[in-house]
Amino acid sequence: MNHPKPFPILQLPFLAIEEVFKAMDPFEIINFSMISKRSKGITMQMSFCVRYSIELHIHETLEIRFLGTKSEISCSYVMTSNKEMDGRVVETECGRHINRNVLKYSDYPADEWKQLCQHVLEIFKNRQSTF
Amino acid sequence: MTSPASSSEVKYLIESSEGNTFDVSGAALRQSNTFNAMFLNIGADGPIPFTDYNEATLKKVFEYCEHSVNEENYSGPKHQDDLSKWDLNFFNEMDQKMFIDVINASNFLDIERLTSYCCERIARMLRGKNTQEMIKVITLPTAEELEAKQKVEEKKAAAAKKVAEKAAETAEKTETLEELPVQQLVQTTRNKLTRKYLSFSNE
Repeated sequence: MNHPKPFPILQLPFLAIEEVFKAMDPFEIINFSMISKRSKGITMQMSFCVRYSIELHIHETLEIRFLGTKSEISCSYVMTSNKEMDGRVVETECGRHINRNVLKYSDYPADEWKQLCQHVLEIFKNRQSTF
Repeated sequence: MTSPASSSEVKYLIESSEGNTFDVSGAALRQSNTFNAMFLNIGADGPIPFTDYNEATLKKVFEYCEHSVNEENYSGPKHQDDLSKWDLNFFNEMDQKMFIDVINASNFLDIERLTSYCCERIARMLRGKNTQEMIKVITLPTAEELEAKQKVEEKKAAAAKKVAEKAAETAEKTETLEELPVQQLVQTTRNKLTRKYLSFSNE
């Protein structure tokens, strides 16, 4: 990957950051919120309308799923104990429905999943969540 | 110079932070919701002061407005890949400082189209990046930089505390002098003078 050009996003006015958020997908929003306390605070302040519903899945794998507009797109964090799969994005199409899975490695997937769930529910606190 | 008429022929004078003025067409200015709210119906008697922004930035913003006058009404953000060649050139020829200034000015002037294109461009910088990669893009201060900053702030606070303590001491001394009774003051002065006289006579 080529070196990203630095850009001081946190120096922008709040409304401009909000506009940036509107163009980001939930994974990017979550990654941004994990950068620092300030970025987490900014994420929690975002007031634009809800576009995703959150589902927490516990079956063979542990997942956090974000369902987009009219359920045509869903993005999922899938916990994995295979280190080589970390960060890999798997996209599957099922008719009009697109499912994007991001695999996340952890030595302790259950703990990591729990922490991630807490974080996600905290930053999207005003939004609907289903279990 | 300026009038409340809504004709696109009308020119408005804009004043920048340097105090320079330049013309902008009414049609271009009407893309700014801030301008619409402030001046559209009442007009402006003199140059409209946007003195928080420099001339180059304002000219750049209004260059975009002039260009998009004939475009259809704005209907939500357009994908970056759908931008015209002119739009791409417009964004590419700006350096980072100018880009930030343009976003700030566009945000203040509430020009939806320009703000959203600029922000979409920033979002593209973060697209597909994990937290570590985002940190590199956002240029957050490192732990050492934060430590150095904290030390400087601590030093400043200590210096300010010292100054405040000295000021409080001086104030206390002045107060005690003022509070001394007149007789006591006379006595102290007399004692000093006597000591001086004695030292003279001994010599």
